[in-house]
Amino acid sequence: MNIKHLINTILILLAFALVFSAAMFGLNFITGPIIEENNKGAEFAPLLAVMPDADNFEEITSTLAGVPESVIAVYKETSGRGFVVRTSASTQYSKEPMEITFGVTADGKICGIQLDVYTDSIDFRSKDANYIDSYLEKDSALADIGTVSGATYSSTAFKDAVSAGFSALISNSLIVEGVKSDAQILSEMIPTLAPGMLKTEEVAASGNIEKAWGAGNDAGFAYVVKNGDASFLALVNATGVCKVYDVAGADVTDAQSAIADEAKAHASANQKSYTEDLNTRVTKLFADASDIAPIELSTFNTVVSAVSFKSNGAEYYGFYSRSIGFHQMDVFFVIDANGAIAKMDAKQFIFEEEYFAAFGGMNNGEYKAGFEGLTSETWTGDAAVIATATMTSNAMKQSTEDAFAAFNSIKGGN
Amino acid sequence: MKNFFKSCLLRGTPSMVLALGSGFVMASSADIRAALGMGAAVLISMILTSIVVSAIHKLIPAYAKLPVYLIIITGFVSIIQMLWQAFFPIVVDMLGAHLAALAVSAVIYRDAEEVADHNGEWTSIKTALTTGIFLTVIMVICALIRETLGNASIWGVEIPFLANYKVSALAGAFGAYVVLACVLAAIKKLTGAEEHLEGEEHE
Amino acid sequence: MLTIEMIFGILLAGLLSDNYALLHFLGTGAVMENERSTKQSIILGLGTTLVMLITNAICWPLNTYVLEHVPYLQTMAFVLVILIVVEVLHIIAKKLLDGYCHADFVKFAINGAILGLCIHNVEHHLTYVETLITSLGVGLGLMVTMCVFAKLKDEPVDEEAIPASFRGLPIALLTAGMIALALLALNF
Repeated sequence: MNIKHLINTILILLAFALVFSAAMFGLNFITGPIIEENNKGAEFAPLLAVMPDADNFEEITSTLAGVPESVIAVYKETSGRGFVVRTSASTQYSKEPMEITFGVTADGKICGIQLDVYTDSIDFRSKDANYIDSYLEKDSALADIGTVSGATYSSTAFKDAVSAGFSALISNSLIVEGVKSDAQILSEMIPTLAPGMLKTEEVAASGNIEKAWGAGNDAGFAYVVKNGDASFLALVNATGVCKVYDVAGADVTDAQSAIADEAKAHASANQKSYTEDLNTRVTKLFADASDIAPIELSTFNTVVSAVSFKSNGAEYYGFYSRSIGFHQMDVFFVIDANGAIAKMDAKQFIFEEEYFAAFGGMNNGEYKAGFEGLTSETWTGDAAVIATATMTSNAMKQSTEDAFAAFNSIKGGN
Repeated sequence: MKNFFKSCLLRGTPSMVLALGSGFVMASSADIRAALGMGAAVLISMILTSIVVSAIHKLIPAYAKLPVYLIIITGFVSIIQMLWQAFFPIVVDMLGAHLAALAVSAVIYRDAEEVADHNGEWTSIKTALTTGIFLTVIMVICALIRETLGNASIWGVEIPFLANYKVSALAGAFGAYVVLACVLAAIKKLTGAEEHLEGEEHE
Repeated sequence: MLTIEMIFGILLAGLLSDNYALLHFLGTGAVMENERSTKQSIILGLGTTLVMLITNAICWPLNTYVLEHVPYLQTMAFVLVILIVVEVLHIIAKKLLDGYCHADFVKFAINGAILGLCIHNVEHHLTYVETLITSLGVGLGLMVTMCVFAKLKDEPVDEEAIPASFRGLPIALLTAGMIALALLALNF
């Protein structure tokens, strides 16, 4: 074959291609609309599942402002029945983000919801089969929707994803925001005001206490307490200190001392004490430790117990922090009077299931020594990093920062 | 008639045709709907290509035959693809790129080159018909086995009492090979024509 | 952003866990029917890889900028590109190819794997660079598969050990199935 043949071949090819293309162009007038209809049907099938009586959908995602990142797409039902939102959420247990589709009627209530993709290692559906259905008929306030015990992170992520979907609709004035009860507003303040309370779960309430939650890491209790017509949020940390907040988030501990007392009483009856454990650990780390005295903390973080003690004439403070990494972490810090870490210790750093490589390759002594001498000023977080064990590293960072915060609260006298 | 059928098969002995077409045969043997959809596509595109090629083969210079025949096949396959997309969308979903890949399948090309290029329209149409039907039958047999045992369903409808006994390996790539190999061996055994066919293949 | 790990991942996927001929049944016919020696298989495989790279390099912009508006012409356009690329390559490399595998390069190079890859790449909305790396991986995967089969054909096999009905294609299919099963394990 030479160049001339090649050119001839290409010309013949183009001629044939042209003939067929013309035929297909003609055929497209017949098949084109049908194919488009088919594709629409396939695209809208998951939407119809959550809004079965819908006529047709129109994607409006690009026309909306301030759509949260987790919202994949927002569809409008063309006859005005409402909206369908597709959102995603991921937790540290997710292989892939979970994907949720839910329909919202024009008056702002969920008319159908389903989980399209779910790869988390813990399946909240198997722990609470009715959890997803409990969202039906709810408005954007998502009243009375809690988390699934034993799958707190995954179910929280699910709830947040639904809330994000609602916020996309509300911020564009497509639906009216649902009204939250005082109790709900107060309960949603807990993670901000008491960040150390991890994996909170509802516990039995009594008396004026309407609702009570205990932290999974034993970092304290939270209560919604009624006083007359008003509701208040009472937080009690693991050392027994209580703070009371009103619906606006203002600290009203002094004005509502009766509530504080009731909350303290409930907490002290249920709180597990870690003082004994901390004392034992302190005497293990400092053989000559004397004058060990527990301290009450005003912080609401992961530090569950604090003591002051003397060793070799110098003053030290011991802290016991319970953050959650891959599993529950139990970390101990001893900080000297100048704010520098004298010793760091933990029951266990790496859990075999987390990352076997890290488990085998980690030098515990070296890792602990890396913390010594650090103060809250010189702390950067680098010392906590354990290669290939991200969740544990993050928990260690949180524990260290919380210990510093607890120390500063003692030293600062507030 | 029996002779004719045999002679058509001889032109492309079963194993030869299947070796060349093993790709799309296996790809579409997971579901009966896919098998029938693919079978019909193969049959129609083969017949149409045969007609066109036997009509114009004298006009095409020898050096350009291969690409030109291929573009003709592609044209028909594309048209079939459009029709299937419109009327059997589920088949297109299941077959994916394989329906388009039919355009460059050696089976249809071989049919066009060796049969239609040398013979009249009727012979080539008959050959296309037998080869196409043969491939469709093979695909449907494989699909019956794989869909029933591998996916516990027929025509996409679940068979309840088999649902707990799925052999999911059969539904995957490995199943495609094993089932096709067994079906082929069974056909060889039943027809007993293996030596005979292999012998005459190199005519 | 494309990291080194991702590039190796894509290449390895093309070679193993995403092997076109064995797991996607694209180009299977060409591999099964391969009667060539190992050396010829390598040359043909490299040639096919080159064809894949060039066609994908052309098809990606073609699809992105032109075919978006006429999706029904996709197959036609891609086949046209493949045919022309193969013909041109054949002229350029005629000497080399004829020395090794006669004139059947053209016939071989036009197989389902190349077209399937073009369609796969545009359907998954890969970026241009990803498209090229995937093409390289899949092409090399096809070459390796061909070599494996060519090598298997060279090995002396005790035909008597195979039941009569299974001789020939069925046993070849079973062999391919075994390799596919092994590769499948890499998907987990």
